Amino acid sequence: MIDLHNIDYSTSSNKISNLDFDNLFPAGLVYAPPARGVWNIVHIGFLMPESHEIFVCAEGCIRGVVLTAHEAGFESRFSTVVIQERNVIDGDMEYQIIDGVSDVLNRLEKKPKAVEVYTSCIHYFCGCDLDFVYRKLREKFPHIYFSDCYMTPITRKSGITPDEKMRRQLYSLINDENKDVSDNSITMVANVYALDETSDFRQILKKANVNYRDITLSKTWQDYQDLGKSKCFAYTNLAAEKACKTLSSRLEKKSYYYPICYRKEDIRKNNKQLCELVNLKSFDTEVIENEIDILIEEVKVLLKDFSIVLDYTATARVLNLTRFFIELGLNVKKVYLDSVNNSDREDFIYLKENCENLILSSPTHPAARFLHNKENSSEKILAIGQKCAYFEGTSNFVNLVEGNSYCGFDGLKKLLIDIIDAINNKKDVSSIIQVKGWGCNCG
Amino acid sequence: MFHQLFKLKVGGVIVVNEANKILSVYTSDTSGVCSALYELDGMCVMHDASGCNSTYNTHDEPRWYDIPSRVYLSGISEYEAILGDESKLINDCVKTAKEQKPKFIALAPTPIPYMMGQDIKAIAKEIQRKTDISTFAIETNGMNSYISGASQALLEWAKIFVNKEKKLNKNKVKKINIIGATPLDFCNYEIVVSIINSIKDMGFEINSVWSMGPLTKNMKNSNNADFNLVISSLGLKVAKYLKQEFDIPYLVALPFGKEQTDKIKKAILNGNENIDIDTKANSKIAIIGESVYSKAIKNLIGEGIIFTLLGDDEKLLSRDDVLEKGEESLKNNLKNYSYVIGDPLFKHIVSKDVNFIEMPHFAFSGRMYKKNIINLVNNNGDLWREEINL
Repeated sequence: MIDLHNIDYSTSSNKISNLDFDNLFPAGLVYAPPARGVWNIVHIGFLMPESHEIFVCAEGCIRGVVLTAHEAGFESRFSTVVIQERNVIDGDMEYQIIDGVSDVLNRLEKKPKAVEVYTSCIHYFCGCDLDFVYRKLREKFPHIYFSDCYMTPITRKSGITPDEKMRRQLYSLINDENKDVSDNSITMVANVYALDETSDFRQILKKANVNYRDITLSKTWQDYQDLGKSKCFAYTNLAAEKACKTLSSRLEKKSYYYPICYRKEDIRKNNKQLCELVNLKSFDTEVIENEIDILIEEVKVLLKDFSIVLDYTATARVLNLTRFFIELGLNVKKVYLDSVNNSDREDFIYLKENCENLILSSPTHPAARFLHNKENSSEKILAIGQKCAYFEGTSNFVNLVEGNSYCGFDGLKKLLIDIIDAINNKKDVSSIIQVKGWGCNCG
Repeated sequence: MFHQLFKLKVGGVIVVNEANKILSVYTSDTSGVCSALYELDGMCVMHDASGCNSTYNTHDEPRWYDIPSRVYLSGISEYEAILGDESKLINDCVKTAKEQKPKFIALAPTPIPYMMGQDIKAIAKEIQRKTDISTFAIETNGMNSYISGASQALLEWAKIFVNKEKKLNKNKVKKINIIGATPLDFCNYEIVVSIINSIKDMGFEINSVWSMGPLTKNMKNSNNADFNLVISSLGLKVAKYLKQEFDIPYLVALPFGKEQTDKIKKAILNGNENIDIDTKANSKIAIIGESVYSKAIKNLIGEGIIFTLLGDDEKLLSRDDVLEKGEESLKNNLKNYSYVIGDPLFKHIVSKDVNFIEMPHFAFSGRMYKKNIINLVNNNGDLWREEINL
């Protein structure tokens, strides 16, 4: 057993004033905390209706994805082809994929509309001819659509990340013929939760008589194809940017960024731009803003003795949310993140200049391994995000994963209600954060 | 082409052994290394890009949330792999080791270092030279089962840390090492406690438990034991090593049910390395799983044919048992049986007419059926046999 008394925890954290935007923490060995709510490429792939996923990789890589599928209850939409030593040595990778995928498809009682074939780092490195593979598969199964998907974490530092690539490939089977159709709709691209019907985004669209489409609401192959008919594609999270821009470019349509944010002035600015896009004169938020002000006062009272900690899995705009709290005069103790995305650049600069004692902490630093066991003080902490709830050992926890379905003032109001609930009602953190792909029930 | 050897043609259609329509796969060798060494105060580094760590800590390691251990990922990038840059791995290991002072460092490579032909043993030597901490590399590549990784890891640890001189046991009470306890086969630690108590009830003393729980602290004194009880096939390599180095006999068995427990007691007293239990031939019961566990179940119920997908397990199988090639072959073979005992995930390939008896195995279904894991040690085994009423 490890002696926890002589461990230096300080190397995993630093004051924001000492950190550079582009290189917060030097890369080293990597630790992974047991917070698993964020969706992975398996969950995201299941968003394609009537599809079947087939992963082709080594046993060690398959283990995580096959159990992801079984735990989520999608095992009937998931198969694998295991790469063994002999396949690497023989150099028969192309035929292993073709024959393995064919065998799986022949065994399926009901053929899927589409197959997402995930190849892995091994294929990438051995120069596997994937064009040949997909050509052969399409010849053998002319009634099935094949999408080339990737589980290549080795490429995560060289351009597009595996997560971004997966979100992009999710839309790769939308028919090019949709170029010629442009109905009065906007498709939200590559989010994992549909925005709430009451969200500012959807309310503005509704008021402007514009239809909202979203893959998370697609039940059939036709619904999926209809995503391409919209006149505009939108995204709220930078992880979806490549997906949205690729789809927009391919179908020659407009792409639009409506960044998730939490500060009132940022939300107003977003809403104004969206109104301009859909030709809506105005969107009145006076009532909800008043409601939010009342909730803020309540939150301030309840959080009087609390510190707030946040982590990057809660929302893509974690520093915007941090800034929102700090501008309210609340005590933010620490933010767990390894890097800052560009949408939070301005907020990073603001916090660095105005909140120099704010601590940023790397959740993957080897020293973070021992934080959970260290934190057991009587300090009152509100955690927003699964990883920080684990590290800080607090049960006052808001289970926010990739921003949930929240958006605009409506989303801010819901978040404040969640905060009040988290202060008043402790949660069983262990049972919540160990669920993989929170809310993935798209099957 | 050579690859054709690993395919079967059934009714004109090619069946690929590596293709699984629905089944899971077993925990891999890299996770096996980390699991076996988890409680030994070392530092395990999976030499991989990403993914191995979350797979390990989500599906292969039930202790991750509550018991701290230094299991990390190297995070190898495309450029490091292509350029053959080993310095980052070395420097990162050295930096963390100097900060955290582990008792040893174990490296477990994955497919990419294997493909690149990285000299992982040389890297281990370099880390050892720079840290003065015992460092060893395990020959893993993410393409073999946990048995391969864990058994090598325990063996390497034994070579370094087990005291070299054999002391004579002056007590009349025999000292026993229990070898092969990891959560992968014994996720519920109460089962290991039951095995310990069972051995104690036989009148023996427990010298060490490899490698879970408080008795891991005496693993380095395993040389002082009189007998080794191997309770999982991942303990076999180290048992053979301890026999070779210290002449300690070993028995591969589990005390499931009274008869087996009594026979284990006799074997230990006499220094025998086998127990004979008559089992019925031509059984209609199929038992799927790790071979030591499955053999103990077979002995408990007096019959059964063992099926295993664990290639590393082959040497422990008897003549009637079957080393399976893949999902489709297993599915076809199971059609000939009236009862199947195995992890609940195997239900997916078993006909509904067959009586399926659930025996969750953490190394196969991970945490999905963790709460249903059954303790068959000693009388519990007899009660279970009566309950299933075969």
